[in-house]
Amino acid sequence: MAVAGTLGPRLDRERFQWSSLLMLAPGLALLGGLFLGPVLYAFYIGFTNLALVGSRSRDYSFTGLENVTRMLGDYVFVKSSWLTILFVVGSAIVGQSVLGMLLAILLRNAVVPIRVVVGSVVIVAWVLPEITVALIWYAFSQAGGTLSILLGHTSSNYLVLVPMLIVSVANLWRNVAFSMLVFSAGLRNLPSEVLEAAEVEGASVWRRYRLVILPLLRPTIVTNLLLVTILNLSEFTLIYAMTQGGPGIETTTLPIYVYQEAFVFHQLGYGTAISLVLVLIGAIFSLLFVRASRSQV
Amino acid sequence: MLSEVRFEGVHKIFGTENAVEDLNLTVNAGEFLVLVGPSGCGKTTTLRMLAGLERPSYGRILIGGKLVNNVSPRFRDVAMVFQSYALYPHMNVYDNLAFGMRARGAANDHVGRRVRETAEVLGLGHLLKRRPSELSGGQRQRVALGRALIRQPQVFLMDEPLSNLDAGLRVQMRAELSRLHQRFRVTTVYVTHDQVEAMTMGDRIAVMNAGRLQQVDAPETLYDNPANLFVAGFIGSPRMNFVPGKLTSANGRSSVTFLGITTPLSTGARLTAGADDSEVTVGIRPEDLMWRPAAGPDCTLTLAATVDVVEPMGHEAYVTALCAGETVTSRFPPRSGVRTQERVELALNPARLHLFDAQSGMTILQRPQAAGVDTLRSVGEARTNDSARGRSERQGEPEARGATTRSEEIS
Repeated sequence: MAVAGTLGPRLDRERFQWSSLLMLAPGLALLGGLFLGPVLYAFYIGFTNLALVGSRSRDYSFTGLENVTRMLGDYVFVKSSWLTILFVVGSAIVGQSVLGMLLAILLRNAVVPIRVVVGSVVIVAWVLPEITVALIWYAFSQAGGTLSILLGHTSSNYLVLVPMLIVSVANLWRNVAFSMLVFSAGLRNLPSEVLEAAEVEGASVWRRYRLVILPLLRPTIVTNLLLVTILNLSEFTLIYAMTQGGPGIETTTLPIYVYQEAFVFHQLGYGTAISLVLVLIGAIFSLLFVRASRSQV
Repeated sequence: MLSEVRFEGVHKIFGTENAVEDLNLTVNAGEFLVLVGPSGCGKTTTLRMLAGLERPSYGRILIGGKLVNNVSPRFRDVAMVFQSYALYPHMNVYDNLAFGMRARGAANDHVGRRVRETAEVLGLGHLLKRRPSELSGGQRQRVALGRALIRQPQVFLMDEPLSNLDAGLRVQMRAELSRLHQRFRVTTVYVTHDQVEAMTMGDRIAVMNAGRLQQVDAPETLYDNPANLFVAGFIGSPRMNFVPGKLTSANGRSSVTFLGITTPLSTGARLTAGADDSEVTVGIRPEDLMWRPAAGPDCTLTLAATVDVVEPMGHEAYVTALCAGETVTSRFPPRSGVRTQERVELALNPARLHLFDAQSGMTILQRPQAAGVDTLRSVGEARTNDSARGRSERQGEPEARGATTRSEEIS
């Protein structure tokens, strides 16, 4: 506006009040000391040869890109990265989200008793401690376990035959409640008149979901994807309790490999470098989702 | 195709609350029926039952003679305009308009042609690429309307479509909706709480209160011969004055005493049976209660009053006055010069009085011109058809002509 230049500085501009710095100081100190410091330190450690025990635990040094070069030639790391992506995409992004969405849709249209019973069962699975879930699925997939009986091969140990599939399904079984709750909340908040308009206009159920409900749920879907990716990328307890990364390295996802390198083989520097890759993968997924969330509505 | 809509003994119960009770109503083919009433009176529920968005608890709903109680909204061939417009926020105007036709499997080139035609009729031609968030309230309203028009449904349902517009735009859209109805003559059920919309747009008005239909009639009939106290008070602004009165009869002639005066009932007016010698509520419209200097010769009654409040409206003034212990409102000419606490004389034409039973609230006075005021019982076809036809003819739009115009321009 032409008038803005002639009247001097605007009275309603936002200004930082320096006196508030005193109030912010404790929070800033905690944030710096407990969060920013350790993160930067971990970043530094990732480029050293620090070990958990031995001489290198005291006399470690900055090694530049040595850890990175080692990673690129490390067959276990490459396989582990691939398994991590498979686990996150298969179990979390596809499995948990799709099944969570289906459950949310079914429960939305279900009569109250079914909604209460199914909803409760799904949430109970989520509330169970991971170690209990691991035990349930371990027993379920063993030779002579329920799964082998159901499939008619009582001597087959499915945790050995298809270990990645079993841990992925166990993880999906446990965490699906999260996506279901997120999507249920999203569905509840959709403008009911818009959905009714689509119905009166003659759109079939499939068409209503494809062209109206899912596009309107887009922000919820993206939020869910972002959260389940971050939560599942660092999944450790369930997999380790079920397989310890085995058989061989068949279920050694990056968190398991980080643990093994850092605390079993005492290679703290290298382990930290691998965990930085985990952070990088998480950042890439997050960036993709945040871009997708720029709603066009 | 013009379709009749019929409600037969329809009830809707939510929990323990009766939202709609024993609704019997026929909307004639091609008619514009306005459902009006205060919030929570059941008018929107009635409309939603007709759309198929609510199922009636009891009774039958027929569209074009076909029972639709168990027909999904998809297959009812009705189009609805929602109060919030309910546009698809992620689609542009073109896709919003095309959605219904595509859902019904229309060919792409046909959809394109119809979208452009409809957009042209509604002045949306230049906005087809925009999303609803980039449109003004009036433009959104037109898109919502276009979405209904484009499909050529059997029935239009409109749920307070103008209530989110500002006053000026509302007047403009009111006229536009009436024009569109004149042109296409699709059976329309229009829900509103605004009596001005009801009076100006409806071929007939159905007044509802507390889930019950109170009266169905042409606007003028409803205004001149309200069936009960509720209708009398709801239709008309400012509201009709209600004062207590007493009915007496001597030598076969009935008189009513109110506000300290007694007047015989006008010749020709007939009391319903058993109404003699009883307490009544006398209804007087503010425009029938005039300032003596401005009153005509047929205002034979005079009342003394003290002015309490004067509300100048520009073209007239509403004067609230105390008269024999009752507060009454009357319409004064502008610049009458009366002031608060001034003593004035009010004039009244006895033929314009309305009488209601003090207990039941039902009208007890039947005027010669009112062909059946007790509409609660007589929302019968013969009469409702007659009044709808009478209005169409007055507007110079016989149904046949309307239908031809529609098929030429929209098909």
